[in-house]
Amino acid sequence: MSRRPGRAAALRRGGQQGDGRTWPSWTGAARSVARVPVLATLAVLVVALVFPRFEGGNTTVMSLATEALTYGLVTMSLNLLMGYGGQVSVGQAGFLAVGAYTTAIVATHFGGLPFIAVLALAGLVTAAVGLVLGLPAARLRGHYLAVATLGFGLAVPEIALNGGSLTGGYTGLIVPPQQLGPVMLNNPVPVYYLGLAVLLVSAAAIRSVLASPTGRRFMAVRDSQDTAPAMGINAGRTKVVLFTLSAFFCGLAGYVFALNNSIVEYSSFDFSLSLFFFAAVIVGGLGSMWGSLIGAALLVVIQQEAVSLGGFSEAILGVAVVIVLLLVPGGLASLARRTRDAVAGPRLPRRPAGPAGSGPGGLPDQRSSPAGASREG
Amino acid sequence: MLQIEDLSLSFGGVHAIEGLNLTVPDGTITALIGPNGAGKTSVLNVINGFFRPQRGRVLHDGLDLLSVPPYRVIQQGITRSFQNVALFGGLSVTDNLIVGYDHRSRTGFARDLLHTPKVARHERAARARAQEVLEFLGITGIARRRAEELGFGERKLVDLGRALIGSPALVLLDEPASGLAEGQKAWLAEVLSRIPAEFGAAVLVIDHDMRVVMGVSSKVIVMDFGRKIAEGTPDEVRADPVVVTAYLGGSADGAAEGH
Amino acid sequence: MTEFAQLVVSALGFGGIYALAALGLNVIFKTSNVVNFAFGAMATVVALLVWTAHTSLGLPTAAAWVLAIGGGAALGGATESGFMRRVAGTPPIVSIVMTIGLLLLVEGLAGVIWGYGPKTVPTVISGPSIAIGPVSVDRNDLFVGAFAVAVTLALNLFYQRTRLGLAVRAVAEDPEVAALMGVSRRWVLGLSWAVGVALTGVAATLAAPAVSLTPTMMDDIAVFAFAGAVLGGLGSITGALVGGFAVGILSDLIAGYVSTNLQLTVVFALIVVVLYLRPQGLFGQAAQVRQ
Repeated sequence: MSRRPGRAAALRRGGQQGDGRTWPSWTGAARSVARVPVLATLAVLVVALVFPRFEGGNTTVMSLATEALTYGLVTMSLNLLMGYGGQVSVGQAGFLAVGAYTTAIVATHFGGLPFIAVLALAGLVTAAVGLVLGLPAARLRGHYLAVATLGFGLAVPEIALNGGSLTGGYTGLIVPPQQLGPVMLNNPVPVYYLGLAVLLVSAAAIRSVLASPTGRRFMAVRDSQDTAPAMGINAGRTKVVLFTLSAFFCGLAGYVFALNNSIVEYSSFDFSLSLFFFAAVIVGGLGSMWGSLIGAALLVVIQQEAVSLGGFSEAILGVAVVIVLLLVPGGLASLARRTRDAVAGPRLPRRPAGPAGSGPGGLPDQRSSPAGASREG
Repeated sequence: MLQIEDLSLSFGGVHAIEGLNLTVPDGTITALIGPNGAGKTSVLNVINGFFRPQRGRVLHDGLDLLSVPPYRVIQQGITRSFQNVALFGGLSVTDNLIVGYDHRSRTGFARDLLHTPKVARHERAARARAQEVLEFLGITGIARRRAEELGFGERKLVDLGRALIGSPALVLLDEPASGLAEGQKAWLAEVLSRIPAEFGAAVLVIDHDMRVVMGVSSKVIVMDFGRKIAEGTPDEVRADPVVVTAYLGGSADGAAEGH
Repeated sequence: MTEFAQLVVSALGFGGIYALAALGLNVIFKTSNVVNFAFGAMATVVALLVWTAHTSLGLPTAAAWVLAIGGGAALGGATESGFMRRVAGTPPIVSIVMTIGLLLLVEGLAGVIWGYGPKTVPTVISGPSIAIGPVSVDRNDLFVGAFAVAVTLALNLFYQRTRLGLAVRAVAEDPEVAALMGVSRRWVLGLSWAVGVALTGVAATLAAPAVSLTPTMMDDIAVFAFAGAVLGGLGSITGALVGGFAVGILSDLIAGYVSTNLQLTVVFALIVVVLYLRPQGLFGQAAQVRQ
């Protein structure tokens, strides 16, 4: 691709944002979907795979690591919903709860089912709930949508509390150990690997969706909902699909959560957890899957220190969110990007500032005809 | 072929369109011109399904468009560009174009999740097609830019490309030249004239700058206050005294200059 | 029947609190089209300020109240000028994120500064209940309920009958025109936020005696207030009053006839149902909501 210096300036007319509200440049990527930093990803993957060899004996650490994987999948699902789909949600812990409770209930009452079936059910039941929430949510925007998801995030733990023997009420449900072939999943290390596998497969699926018509529809509705129909996009249906998918992945995370904690109780899913997931996605960077994972890891750390930090843990998250909003809209992911750009140079060449007002003569490829040039006024 | 019969649309007490009759034959470029507020954009919005008229019929190849929901209009082979250039800001230029092509994919979200071969085939075809359109428009250099970073003229071209990529039967263009500089307008007219040959599409283009559309159209329809006041070839219309008066005196060309 | 009437009447107190909190929310939404998700936490700060002024500093109740309400107003105004203004003109998600960030921040800091141990604040009015026919009304409840009604009337008068109120409405509906008429948008927004936070702060302080004052005190109340605001219509003053009382009565009835555990669940269901069927609530404006 050759560059023609005069063209860029010729076509450029500063600043006018003719479109209806475009998404803020938080997603920061130079393309529609942030690139995967391949080397970094491989490195982290290797560490993740090898890590249990060193810490496998330490139950607490393994359990925390699995918690991080679980939260990572939740934040990725929320990022799909908010960053790529543009729908605000402050109730994601509700989906996690549905997945976890489904796991516990199914494993308790249908003990013979293979683990993969229980996992699938956790995802599908949560997806169904996502569908049900998505139907009214698709008709709402902005603050109204946020309040609706708030209602959902608050309702789910309450319903769990009042669910009688089905949900174990106040005391919750024990999760009977699952079996993966010959391996019993009541040991932190296999649970960790299972969680890692679920996370990786889900991440692949999400990226796959984003590079497909469905994913583009999400983003189109996000950026310009009112003109999307002209491209054949049924905005309402797209939003419902979005909620359903986001819920599905969160449900899978619920399965891992249930295994990791061995007990599912309503108090684990209170509203503040939804707020924390929300904060984690924002701080990590909307529209960046890696950012969501980093945000989730931070969240786990903060939660662990919450006992000693007390109110500080909330305040820290709050400060981080506000700082991101005001100073670093792309979150941690954009910070990483800027650092890489500073070190390695930007991926896309800078726009050349050519002489102003030059006509279209220099612009097109070989199609510029003499007739075109002579019409310059 | 697009046929509009006796179309009437009003908002409250405002008659945006009154008794409009209009046809756009296949493979031709028809211009719809008139002063600001003449109702031209409303015509496009009715064809698109954004507004429902109080009276009248809109047929495309015999099919009643008014019974089709807005998101299905593109499947009838009708696409449009927008006066306010509503690109998808967070998407790259290529992806913006591909969104215009996606209605052809027959994959649902389940297959998209798994990225089946069918999906992969669609993606390849879409990217190839997008590249063709970028070359046609002469903007291959910005393919990977996010749409919201583009300059105004580039946005207009991407908007146009998005309407062309699906090989439509009819392209509706809403003021494609507004806001462009003189040289850019000439280029745009050039591009417009090539659409029927390159894409096999008919074009209904709105503009109130006659100089852009007169050179490329085979038929011109003039509206004022929601009614059609003249119809004919560019030369006929230019000489029509009714049209001249509608543009408030002076020659039709001169009076019709910009905003 | 008496039981029913009694339940309704005893909802007066909390209904009034929900109404006042909802009023605070709606005053802000009315002008700035922003749901202040942090309104509960900010209100708690006001209540905590009253406690500090009264208990630590030994000020008389009235003075403590004035100080705290002034603090609430200052907090609201500072929030608007320091934070919300910087994200003016951005898509809704940005201000949602901002207020949620502030929620975390304010609630967290309140915990750090005041600790989580429960504190006591005296009721405004004490004394024996009043008997009206077969039902008895707690004096304080009566006061709170009447106060909520009075504030609503005052606000309505303000918006409809005063020049400043007209200016505020103008800014809400058409900022450009308002600016042309010389109304300062910044000033009006700052005022709205100050009044909004102060109002919700009053609600929190009135609630404090009943629910024990901790930094997370308003969590549940905020939800009921949300439900009231949504039911009445976001941005509507009368709606906040009607919605607040309706939610209070509804939750009281449920607690009385069914179970206290289900109160929150039903209220959330109410939020979602209202938003699905009639997002603008009873008194809100439809135009703002969809698309």
